[in-house]
Amino acid sequence: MADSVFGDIQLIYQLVSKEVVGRERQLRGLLAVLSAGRNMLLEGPPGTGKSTVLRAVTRNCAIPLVMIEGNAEMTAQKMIGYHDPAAVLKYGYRPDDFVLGPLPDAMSRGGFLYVEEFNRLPEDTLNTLLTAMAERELHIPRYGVVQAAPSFRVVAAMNPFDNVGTGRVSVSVLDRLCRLAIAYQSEDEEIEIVRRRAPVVSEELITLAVRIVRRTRAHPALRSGASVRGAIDMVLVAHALAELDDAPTMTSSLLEAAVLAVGSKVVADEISDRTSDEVVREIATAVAAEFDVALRP
Amino acid sequence: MTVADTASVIARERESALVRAAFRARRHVLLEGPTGVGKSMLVRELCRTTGQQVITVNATTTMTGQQLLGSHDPATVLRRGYTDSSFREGPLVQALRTGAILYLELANRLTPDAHNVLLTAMSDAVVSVPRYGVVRARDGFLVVAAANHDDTTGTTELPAAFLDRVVRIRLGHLDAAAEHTVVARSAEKHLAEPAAEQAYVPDVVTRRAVAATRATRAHPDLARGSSVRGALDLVAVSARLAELDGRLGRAATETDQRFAATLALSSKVTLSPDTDRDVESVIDEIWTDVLLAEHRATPGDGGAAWSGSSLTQSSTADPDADTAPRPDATPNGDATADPATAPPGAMSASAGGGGGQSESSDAAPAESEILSELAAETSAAVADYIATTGSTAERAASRAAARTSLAQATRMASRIVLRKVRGVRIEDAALGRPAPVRYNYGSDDLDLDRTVAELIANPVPMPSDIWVRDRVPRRRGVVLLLDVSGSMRGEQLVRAATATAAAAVALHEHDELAVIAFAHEPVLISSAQDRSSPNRLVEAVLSLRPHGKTDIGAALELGLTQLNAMRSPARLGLMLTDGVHNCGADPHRIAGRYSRLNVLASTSAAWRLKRCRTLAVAGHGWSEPATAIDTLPATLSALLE
Repeated sequence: MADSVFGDIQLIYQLVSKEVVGRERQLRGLLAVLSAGRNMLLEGPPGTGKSTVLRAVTRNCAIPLVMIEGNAEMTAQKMIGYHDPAAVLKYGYRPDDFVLGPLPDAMSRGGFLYVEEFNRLPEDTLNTLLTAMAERELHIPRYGVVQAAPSFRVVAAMNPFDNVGTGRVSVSVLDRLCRLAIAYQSEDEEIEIVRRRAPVVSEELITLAVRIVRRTRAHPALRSGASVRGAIDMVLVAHALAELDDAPTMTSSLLEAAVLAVGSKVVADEISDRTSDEVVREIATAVAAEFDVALRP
Repeated sequence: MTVADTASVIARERESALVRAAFRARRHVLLEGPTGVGKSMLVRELCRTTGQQVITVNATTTMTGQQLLGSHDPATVLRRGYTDSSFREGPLVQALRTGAILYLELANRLTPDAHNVLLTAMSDAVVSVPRYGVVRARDGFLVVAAANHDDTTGTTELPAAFLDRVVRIRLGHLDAAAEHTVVARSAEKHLAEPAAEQAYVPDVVTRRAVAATRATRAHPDLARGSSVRGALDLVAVSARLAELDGRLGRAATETDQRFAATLALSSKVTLSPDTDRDVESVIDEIWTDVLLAEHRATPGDGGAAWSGSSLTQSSTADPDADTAPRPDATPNGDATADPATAPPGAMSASAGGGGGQSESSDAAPAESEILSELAAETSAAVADYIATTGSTAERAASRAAARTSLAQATRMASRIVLRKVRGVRIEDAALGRPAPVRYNYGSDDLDLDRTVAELIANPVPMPSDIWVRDRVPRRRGVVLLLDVSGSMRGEQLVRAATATAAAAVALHEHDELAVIAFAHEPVLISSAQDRSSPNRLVEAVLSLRPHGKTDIGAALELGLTQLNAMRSPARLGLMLTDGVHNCGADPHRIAGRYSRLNVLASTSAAWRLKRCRTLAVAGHGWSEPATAIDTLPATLSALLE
């Protein structure tokens, strides 16, 4: 019915929404933008399900997903690919000896190029992306022209609150992207996500973990909080600790598990004089008290 | 080619004529204009109609002159040496030889090296290629460069020598009617695709899309608006949203149109640095205004099915809703439920709260008493700064803090300064541009051409004979000299604090920074050995109590001793001043002892700017004006080069 280069997007929507918890609005936006032939920028903190949704979409569309991470080491040369040096010395620059980098690879196979930490890509690397997005073709010196298949898209992800080692992306690139802000899921959705990843854990523990992690996001002493990954790690670690200690309940090791799992996932405020571990411990203690849970000291 | 590009050039008759005239007169052309305004389309279309070949080069910050010229195939060279047959032409040589147009996109990203090669070609119509020969231009060769001055990341000013050799044609955004035509034509093309038969784009959506896009260019909370691409994307995305709903042959729902506006426009605009609203709430407001205007223009018509509720909720923030400070860390966006069930206005309710509206009624009399109690001009400037630039939460906390201690207020102000500075892009110069270096067990990005050249000379190589491309960090030693004398002390202090923050943030772990503040006497705030954190530095600057005359010479002397104690190979002084000294020795002699002294001129008076320039020239450096706090970080980082 609703036909596009990805096939029936209504059908894809239905298939993907079964696999992913919540995210109806984001999924609609993503499918609308991509099937309209545009490229997408997903802006939000880590652990909000961006790659999960993308994987589900590409799987159901039967197209490849090429993932790369934006950092200073991702040079333009790595993005584009290289000639096998030994072959070059022997035969000169032959197209056959060229190894396609992630960008031309995604272009020629008609897949999504998913760039995490997009705002950490160096300028020159972003420029190569710009050409691919604007012209839908890439000129590679001494190789040839790589045309983008119709289903090729660039999906960029970035965390706007992460100011370390990042810079604003060039306007020429931003002008060619549509944007969707992705915030954390609701409490119920996060509980469901943890439940799916840690089925053997008690409901109480899951609720506690999610509550603790959600509190880290609005705490005055923390500059940024943890995603649902913190809760998943917390329950799995608490479970393991309980087994090791032969404890009666899983919640007794909650404090330790919280610090282990969440301590590194939050960032303490510059002005606060407490460490992130201390703040996490404080939050966990408070939440446990609210639930009337006995903790190990 | 995207859908947009297949539309022929609309409403650019005058600019086309200008470019054609330049071609006839054999003048090189510089096309200047914001992104998305149709520069490359114009060039391509012109060349298509004249039948002239265009060779396009996307300038990157790593493009070397050699890449423009071309290089020799290594295998052939190894077998037969450097001959004509081993040479592979680069785009410049190809354009010269075939008499084609060399179209340079993003020309303001080119390295000086690439510029030099271009300049020779442009002025003499000939280039000399090492180990190949001389290439003369055939008739018809011309350079057309496109530059985009919105784009401040990774770009440099075009050199004067280049500007001297071109005819500059500016392209602005088209007028409303023309933009409407562009968007409508693209929708038609869309319809022409067999798979898109059901994609229906009604004229009303096109009109709204164009109106909203144009409105982004005039909104007070937006520093930069969207190009026509915003409207194009809006229309296409809303058509697909309709499809997802099974609304074949009909427009997308009102809610979906609003959603499409956010999707299409929110990345293409830049928020003003003075606002703490998020971009979604601004786009939302703009969309509502567009609907309102439409409703007013067609009275009596029920109009699009937007409900009255969206009017009250999404116009200026409801004062009652904005009592609690919004936590800074949580991103806004998905708080409301599925749009299919929530009324259209609901999204704006969550987005509109906490906006940058000032709470004028909140300035209780007690506040001014407290502030005057604190007496020192400095604290008033600090509280003032917080009051005008802090977020709702910070303002509330500042009022509380003003009752407790100046130190608290200072800490808060320093946090704001740092946050503002970090939000601005500062070219990470210390990371260095990629350059060829000998292999040192670091980067493994092989620079094949250079390595081959090395192998030809030295057939039995050591690892260090291999060339790779790596970013070369340059260790720098900087002494920051802050003039905090003079009459505008409060503002001057905030400027000094911003400069300190900018320097601290721009420099790296391995760089050295010393900070000196001066009025009639210089004060060493932090020496390079102290390695103070940005926070402490900014707080220290904000805690100063400046007064008195200005002795630039003494400050320069102290700065020199600090520089001499540093170990970095590149050492420079950076002074923030208005250029006027009224006591002490003549600073120009002392400036001359600096290997490099750059000056940030905190003045707009012409005669003072001249003083700053003469001072900088005496110090073998240069001077830049820096009055606006917002542009100060970028200017400062440019002077750190």
